[in-house]
Amino acid sequence: MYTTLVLDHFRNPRNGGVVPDASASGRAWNEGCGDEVQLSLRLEGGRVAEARFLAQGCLASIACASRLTELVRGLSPGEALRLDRAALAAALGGLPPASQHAAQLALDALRAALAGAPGAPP
Amino acid sequence: METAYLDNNATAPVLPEVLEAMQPYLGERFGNPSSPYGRGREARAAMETARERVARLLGARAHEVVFTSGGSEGDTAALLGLVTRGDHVITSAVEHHAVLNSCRFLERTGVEVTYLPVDRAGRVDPAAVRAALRPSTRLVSVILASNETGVLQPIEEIGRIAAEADVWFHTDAVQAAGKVPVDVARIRCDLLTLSGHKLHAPLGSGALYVRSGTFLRPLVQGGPQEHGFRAGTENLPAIVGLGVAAELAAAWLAGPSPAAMASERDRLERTVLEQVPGARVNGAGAPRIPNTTSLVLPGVAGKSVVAALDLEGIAASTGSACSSGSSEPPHVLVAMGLPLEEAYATVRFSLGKQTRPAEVDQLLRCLPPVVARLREVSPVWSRRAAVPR
Repeated sequence: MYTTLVLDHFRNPRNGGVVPDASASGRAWNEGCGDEVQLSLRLEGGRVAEARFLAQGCLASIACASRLTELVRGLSPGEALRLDRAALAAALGGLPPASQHAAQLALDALRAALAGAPGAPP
Repeated sequence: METAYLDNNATAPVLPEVLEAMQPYLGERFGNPSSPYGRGREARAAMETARERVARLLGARAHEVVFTSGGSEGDTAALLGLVTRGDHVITSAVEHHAVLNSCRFLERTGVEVTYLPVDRAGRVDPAAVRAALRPSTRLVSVILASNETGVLQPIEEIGRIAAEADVWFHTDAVQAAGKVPVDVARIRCDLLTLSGHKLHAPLGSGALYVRSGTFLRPLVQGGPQEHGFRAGTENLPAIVGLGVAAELAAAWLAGPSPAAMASERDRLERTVLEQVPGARVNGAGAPRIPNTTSLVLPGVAGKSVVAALDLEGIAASTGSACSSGSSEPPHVLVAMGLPLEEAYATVRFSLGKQTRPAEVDQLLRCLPPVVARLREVSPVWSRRAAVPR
């Protein structure tokens, strides 16, 4: 039911941890199921130079957060904020309907991180 | 791939002897036990043999055993069949949802329900049962062994209090039957629920013990089957399977196997506690059925551990299934006073009669690295690690 890519990100998460001296960081929490995602970012020259995540929750929550840290690298805050659930799901080869909330949780953490970050749209 | 099935509290595989006994009744030995000719009489004879076997497992008389479709039907029939508007029911906060939701249903029909709290181990205080009694109390319903933690309730003390107060006493013995001796005379219960598939009989089989003289309105309306307590043509193959499973369970309980199973469960627990820092057993120290362990693995979500183990061919459970971003932590653990974080971090492993040591070994090889890997990216674990201890 999960794509090979989703399973791979769950088994071998990319960019786990916290960026030292992060320029921006944010956290999202799903009260309904207890899942949590934290994202920290280092911005350089108006672009995301490094992104790291921490996640606790279902398989999809960990995979989405992991994949998102790859997707945002090199993007400006404005470009990063245009990522949506469909884009994140597509970047994982698709997500089952019941796991769409996991993509949203990772995106919520990204939005929380970029709120007020230098270069982010108002 | 090597596989390990460590979720026997969800369902226990049908034993070969059970399957073999059932097979003729799915084929050439078909028949309706109510039919007046040879085929029907043979079907009835097979059914009554099964009834005697189930009765023996429970220390009951054969005519006190009512065949059902399983645990949820038994619990619902017991609760809805005994009480009416104006009655009062005493139950606990750690019941199976079949009892809890039957109580919620009854509340909507004008029945009052007291949900007794439990201690840290998940046990009801018998004195609290006594204190909750009212003149309108008609039924006490307390689970025998928790499906989540395996913790056994002080059921004989509660049964004595109910008997002294002259109120009906029902116990859900779905997880206890076949794992510890269950004797309706010692428990002094009027009703007891049993599920077939938890004791290696097929899904869709079950029984409700109804003490002689207990007035129970039937949940399923129709013909006079099952002494009028449960209408519908009996599920003969499943009933035959349940009978054989009950007989095997009685023999199993009389031998050294329960102690061996407890020692295998204890080995599992001991090794996890040694190898997973911070791990803890829910209900440790309380009497438990020999096959179940409920482990808090701090810093990780139980469902992510279950998913990771699934990828290694190991079946386990959290007790809370996530669907569309909403999953409640197991109510049993919350009632025991676990913080939400620990309730979400709980995984249950349950052994069965067919569990091989190699399956437990496979789990013990996989679990510590799985938890370590999940902790590396866990915000909860990173906060915990940051706190000086």
